[in-house]
Amino acid sequence: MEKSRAKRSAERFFAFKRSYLSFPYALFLVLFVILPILIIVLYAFTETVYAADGTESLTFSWAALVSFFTSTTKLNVLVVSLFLGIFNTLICLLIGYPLAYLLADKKVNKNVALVMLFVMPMWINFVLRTGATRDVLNWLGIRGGDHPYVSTMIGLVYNYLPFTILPLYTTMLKLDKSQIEAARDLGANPVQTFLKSVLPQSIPGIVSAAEMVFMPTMSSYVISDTLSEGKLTLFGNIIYLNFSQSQWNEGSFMALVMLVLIAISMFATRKFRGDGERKVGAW
Amino acid sequence: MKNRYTSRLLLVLGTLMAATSLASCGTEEEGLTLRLLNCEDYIGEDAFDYVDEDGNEYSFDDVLSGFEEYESEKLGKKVSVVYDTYDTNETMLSSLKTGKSVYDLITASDYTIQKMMSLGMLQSIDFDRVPNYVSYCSPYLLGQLDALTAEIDGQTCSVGDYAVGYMWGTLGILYNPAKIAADKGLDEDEVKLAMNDWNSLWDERFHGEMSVKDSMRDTYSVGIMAEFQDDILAAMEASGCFDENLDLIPGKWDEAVENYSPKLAEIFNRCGEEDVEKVKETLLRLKENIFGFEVDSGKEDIVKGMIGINLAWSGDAVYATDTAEDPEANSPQTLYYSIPKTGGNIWFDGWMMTKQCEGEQQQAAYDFLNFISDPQVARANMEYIGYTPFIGGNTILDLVRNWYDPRYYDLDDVADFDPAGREEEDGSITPWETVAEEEEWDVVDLSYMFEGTLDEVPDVLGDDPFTNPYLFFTDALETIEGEDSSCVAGRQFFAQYPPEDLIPKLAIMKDYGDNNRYVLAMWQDVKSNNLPLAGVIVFGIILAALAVVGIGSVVVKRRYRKLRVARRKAAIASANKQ
Repeated sequence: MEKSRAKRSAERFFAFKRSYLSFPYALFLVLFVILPILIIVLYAFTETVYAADGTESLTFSWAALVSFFTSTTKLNVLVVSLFLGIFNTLICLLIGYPLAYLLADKKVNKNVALVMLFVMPMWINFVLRTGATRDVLNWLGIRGGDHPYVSTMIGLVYNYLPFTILPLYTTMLKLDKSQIEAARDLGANPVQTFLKSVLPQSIPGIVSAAEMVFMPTMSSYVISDTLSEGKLTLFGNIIYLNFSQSQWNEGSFMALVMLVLIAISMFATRKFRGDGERKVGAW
Repeated sequence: MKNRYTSRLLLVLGTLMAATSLASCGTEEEGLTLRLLNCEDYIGEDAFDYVDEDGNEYSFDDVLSGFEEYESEKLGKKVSVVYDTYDTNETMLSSLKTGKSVYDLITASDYTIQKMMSLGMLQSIDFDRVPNYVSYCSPYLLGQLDALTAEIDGQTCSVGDYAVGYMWGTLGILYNPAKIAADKGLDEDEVKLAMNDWNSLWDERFHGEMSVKDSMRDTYSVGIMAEFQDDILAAMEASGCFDENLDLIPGKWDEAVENYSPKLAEIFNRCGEEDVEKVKETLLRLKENIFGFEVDSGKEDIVKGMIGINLAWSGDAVYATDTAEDPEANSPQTLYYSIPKTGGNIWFDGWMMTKQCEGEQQQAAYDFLNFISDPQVARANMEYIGYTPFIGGNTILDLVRNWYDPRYYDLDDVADFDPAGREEEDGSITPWETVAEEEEWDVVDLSYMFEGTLDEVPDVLGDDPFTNPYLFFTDALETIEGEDSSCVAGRQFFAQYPPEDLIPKLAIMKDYGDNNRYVLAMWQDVKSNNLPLAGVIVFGIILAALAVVGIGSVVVKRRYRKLRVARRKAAIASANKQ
């Protein structure tokens, strides 16, 4: 017997398709990523106006933008944060790069346990770790109140080092060994081998490591707050301060500035990332 | 394509929503829910005994479950409490403003109550329905609340009509004289004397010893006390109520509260653009001298001995002092609490009723306010959290005597008190007067707190601690004599009930209103910093190096390409020639 039209269309409606698996994520994306960003944009360019009868309404305004770009304090904090972000990224790379190279070398590192050791701190919540770092630094005599920059940098590097080692390590594992050998065979000295073969091959790892460190450093505030004893203010702190003082518009605008910076850094590093994964849309 | 999926998505969402809303309907029928929002760790969580007005005895596990039990019995149906907490007034107000969470009763500090009143979030309180509060609240504190006002729809309303006082306290200096003396090579008495002056926080002698609050209003108030100290001293002298040691002249208490306190309040609440600018410079200098800013790590740090001085709220000071002197701790410390001679901040936290609280809910809310104002419950709260309740009464006075009056230390029950004197080991009785003289006990007057709240008060009070119930002996205060000044140093007792001659020197910090933006900008300036020169240089070098490497590699590549091209051309040319 032939199935009725209604039944067939119902079957088609409920038929399982692979793309349905993406619904939970799509929902998540809309609720927790897209919507918040839209709200940030909304508050960044509006102002709350209280009418005489007590009702409040949002009106378009450049006030938050003007107040951000005319405030030397806020711009100053942004520069300090950028500086710390870049500095932290460089130090993490300097320490993490040779380490990842060694870890990926089967001769040096016979099992994966060593890698685990470096990544293990990530298993503990970073707020707890930062509290412990504070005690350790105090015990060493590096009092955060006297050396806010030094102790904050130590805390930042300690916290973000695993994030540099992991991507670098995975890139190093995939290094084309035969190319390196060929370079050596053809008479390149170790420096040339490194500059011409190892470094170019590991650039995607460096870029993703830098991305994992730079922006989170700028927006982090627990580490700087705890380790500098509140004497060092990063961009994240000042955004939080504005929100907690009910300055939602100015806080949102600064959050937007941060988003733009993230977008710029993603865009700038785009061409360095390996295009190994072909982008396929869910729909 | 997209539309079909969206519609299906909406269908699923709709079903989910319907399901959840159905599920939540079911619980409404059974009983009454009272929704409370309180500050963290701000209610008694230990078991206590309770006797209601009809003489029924209860024993409750904690204040909240006690209220549920008591109220369920009273109303004859199940009453449950939904209890949420917040960490700061600012975050609480921010989250309430989104309008998504609804509460019946909320606690907040004085200035936030003012703000919420003017935002039209509160309803006024009918005090006939809170009889315990009316009979046991200290009249002095009530007067302070009444004096605080806010504008509602253009009308000036008193905070006292919109809030039921809960706890009050001061902002003072918590310090560890032994540690500071050891660190800085000073005498302990010298430290205790110095801690009676706000300017000591700026003093090089105490560099790196102290942490202040990472809280805009609190630290700003300290900046005011230091920056405008001359104005305050002038006002003190003009009032004629204080001697050259800045102590209250005996008998001038009422006069000082009436005449001097409002002048202090005016100075203390300065927040005009110019005043804020002046305080900013002062706080920037403070930043150089302190160990750091803290939110709540300060009390732990001072107990651990990481710092020696902490700007602390009185209740935190009590907690830290108790913790530090615990004989089972690694190294017990003796902490002190002081409010400088020029005075400082007195603050109030109260319960407010929101506009959403109506009908049966409102009845339960009033019952809760009355329950929490019962001295037995206030005592349970005070014993647990260490802050001082608004409530007086014999129950609280007995507790305070038990803690701070040495005559009552060893008694399990205040009723066992022997007015004749101390019983010695050989069975003889030494009169209390003699004991007090021998042990150098001080006499303290707490009438500002307990006046009008006690059961039986003799007609003639006098100044004898044996007949006047507001007076009592204490060994919790020390008098320190310096070369040209003297001061009273105290600990928990000082924090919970400041000596009466300090009371006129305390002021409430009001809501800054529109001027809050100046204070916020000032605070951002104080908290932010310039890059250190070394950092700028390193930064510059790094940027320059990056630029050199980048440009260099481009140049080198170009050059190589040129060479390659030239080579190839030459090769082709030579091949052509052949």
